[in-house]
Amino acid sequence: MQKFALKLSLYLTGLILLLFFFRAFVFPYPDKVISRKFSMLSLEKQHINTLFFGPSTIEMHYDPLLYDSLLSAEGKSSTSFNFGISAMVTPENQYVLEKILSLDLPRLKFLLLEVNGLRTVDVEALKETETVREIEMTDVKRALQRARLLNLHFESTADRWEAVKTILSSMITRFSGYGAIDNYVYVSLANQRSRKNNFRIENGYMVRGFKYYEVNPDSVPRYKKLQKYFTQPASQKAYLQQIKELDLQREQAAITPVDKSIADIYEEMIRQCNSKGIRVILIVSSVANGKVSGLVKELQQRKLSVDIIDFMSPEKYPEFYDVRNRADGNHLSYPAAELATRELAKEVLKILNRD
Amino acid sequence: MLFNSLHFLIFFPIVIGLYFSLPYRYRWGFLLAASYYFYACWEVSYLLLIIFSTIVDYWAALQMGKKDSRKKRRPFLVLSLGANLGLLLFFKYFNFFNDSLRFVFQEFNLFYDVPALDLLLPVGISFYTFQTLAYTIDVYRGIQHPEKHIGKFALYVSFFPQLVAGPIERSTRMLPQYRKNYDFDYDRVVDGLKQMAWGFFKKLVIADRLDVYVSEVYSHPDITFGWPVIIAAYMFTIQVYCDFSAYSDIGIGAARVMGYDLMRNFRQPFFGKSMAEFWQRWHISLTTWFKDYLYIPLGGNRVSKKRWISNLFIVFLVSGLWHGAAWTFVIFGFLHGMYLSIGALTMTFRNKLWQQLIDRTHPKLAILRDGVKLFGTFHLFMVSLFIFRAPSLDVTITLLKNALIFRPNTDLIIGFTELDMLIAILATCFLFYGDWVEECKGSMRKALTERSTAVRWVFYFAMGLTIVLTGHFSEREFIYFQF
Repeated sequence: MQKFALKLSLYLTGLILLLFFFRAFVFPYPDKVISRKFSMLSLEKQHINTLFFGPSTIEMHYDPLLYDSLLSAEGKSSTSFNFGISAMVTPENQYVLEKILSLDLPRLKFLLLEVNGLRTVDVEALKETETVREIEMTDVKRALQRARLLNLHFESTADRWEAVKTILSSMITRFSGYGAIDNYVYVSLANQRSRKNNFRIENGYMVRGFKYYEVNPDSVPRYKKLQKYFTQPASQKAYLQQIKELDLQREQAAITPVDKSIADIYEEMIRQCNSKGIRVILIVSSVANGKVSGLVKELQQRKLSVDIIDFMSPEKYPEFYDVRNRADGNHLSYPAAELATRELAKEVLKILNRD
Repeated sequence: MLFNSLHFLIFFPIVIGLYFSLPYRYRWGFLLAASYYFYACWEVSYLLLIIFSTIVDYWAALQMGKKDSRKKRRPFLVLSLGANLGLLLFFKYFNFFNDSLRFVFQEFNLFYDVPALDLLLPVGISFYTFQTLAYTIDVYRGIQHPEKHIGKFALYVSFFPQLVAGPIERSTRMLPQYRKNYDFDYDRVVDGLKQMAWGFFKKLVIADRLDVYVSEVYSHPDITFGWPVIIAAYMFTIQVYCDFSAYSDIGIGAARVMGYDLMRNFRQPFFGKSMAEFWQRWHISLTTWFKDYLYIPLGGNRVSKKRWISNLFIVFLVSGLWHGAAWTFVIFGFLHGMYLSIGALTMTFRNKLWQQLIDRTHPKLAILRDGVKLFGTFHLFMVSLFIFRAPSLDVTITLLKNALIFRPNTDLIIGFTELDMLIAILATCFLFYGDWVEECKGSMRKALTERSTAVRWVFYFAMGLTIVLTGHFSEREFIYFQF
């Protein structure tokens, strides 16, 4: 048995070392969607001065080409890049942002950062691949942040155990991530294709014309399903009921411990950007649930030196909440994304002109 | 509990560690508790079904042991068959028959108001039911003495490495093993772990990767045309083999670590040169079960030709239904019955034809003959799986039609990346290479041990890295769990 234990330890140690080697030097980033965008950003890093950053609402609501043309029409030069990643939750976004900042984009001056309502709020959400992605980072700091958030949120030991199991499972079984090799090779393929087609255009209703957008193959059926669901009268009725109460809900929202801990992360991100001379503008997107309200309040209370553009109000922006302009409760349709981009450009111009 | 889960990654080393640390007399009890825990991870309440089956069969067998003639034993056999098959019919087939009846009634505009049952199919019910049935039938036939130790009998019914998806073991093989004591044997443990690793490679790197493509095609039958449908058919054939044989490999390997020898369930099935040979290599434990407990009692091939053919059809129709409660499975069974019947009826003619075409005139082309046979067998099986995979007959028909429609600019890679495709192709080539080595040398693991230490360790590290870096860790269930 001793001989077995010795050889097994030797094998496992060797395997872990090899995995670390692969993880650190050969295939350093485990998520293919992020990797692809990351790689494209690296290619364009000399030109980009504005970065859209956040989850799918950023990805689907704002078109960099249109945004650039609108700003240029007003004499403000802009070369923007949409780094929206579906379900990029806190604290993954900080991790990704740090990676972006380490690229040293020489012209980057503006970061349009979504106030991200996404967080791992229940065990079921943790099981979703895209949400679990953040823990795949095998980054101790981030894992601890996550643990802190979970600890604040989960009340029962059973829930905590589920969460711990899922995190461990992610860190062990998805150690390097199934997409590890994938990234490395696929990025070059994606780049070739992008150059040839002047960036890939797919899945029209959702993202057509969005510069640098790369379709995550897994998300296509999901969005189709979502859209199909949203066309049902019952879903639309539920949605209309939901948005009726949204403004009131936002007013009454309480700041939770989770909001505070996420606000800490935002504060840190803003500080990191400012130290590099990058101005942060926070965006609250037009989603149909008020989960982010407590976080917005907390950020406002902290009196940070950032502007907040707030689109989450059916009263103020009825066209965003018109059922015909929605892909689903949380996302605008493609034509409505043009509206959102125009509105965003208008708000940003107001800020720039004010200064 | 899934073999491909973190839960099992923690569970298995603990079980092995404790198993070898415990005195011999406590081991059966520990393994039984571990097996029940393993099963209870799905649904605690369904553990009662296993316990019920165990008690009924234990008691029925003991009663049969006291009787000196088959006639006197028969009521207890009927009781055991009734209890086990009753549970199986109720949980697995009630809704199927009910829906079929409803359809027939509705076709004739007749009132039918028996509601469908909202039941979760107990995982592995077909496997452990067949295993316990084999025991009581063997006791009835006098081949097996009734087991007096209820704990060891319960372990025979629920031994976790093979509880959920086989191999369907025989009491004559397993019960004597539970009476023995096994010490830690380095070579045996390492051999078992290697077999498990091979299973994980097949499941995580190949089967679950291919599942992404196959599911994408089968879930969008209306919009998938031409090559993707054909590619999916090939992929599913490989996927089923990898998925199911992976479970057997992991189970057999896990049992071997503890000292138990489970029967071989797959023997390079795609090297079968006829459908009859294929079934001697595929899911061997089920095939032999049907042979021993259904085909031979029906008369096997020692009856008139007509009866022989009908025996083949009966066996394969039941086998189809065993796989699942749906008409697609019935058709799957029917197709195989047809394959074997036609094969049996034309065997003399085919042999003569091959002799005239190749064996006598061009003996050097024997390899071509074998190639044609392998190709034919593989594709016949693939066609049957095409139906097997579809959730309904409508989907099968739609996909069959669409497979013949080739549209320009069709994207061949659906649901995953070019790299996924590349990995799938390379891994499948390696799988067939492994099967070829097994076919030629008997055992790939044995062939590997003949290599130098350096080569072996490089292979082990490469295997570990391949599994971790390219495996799909989404904890997808094994296909055969649904049966």
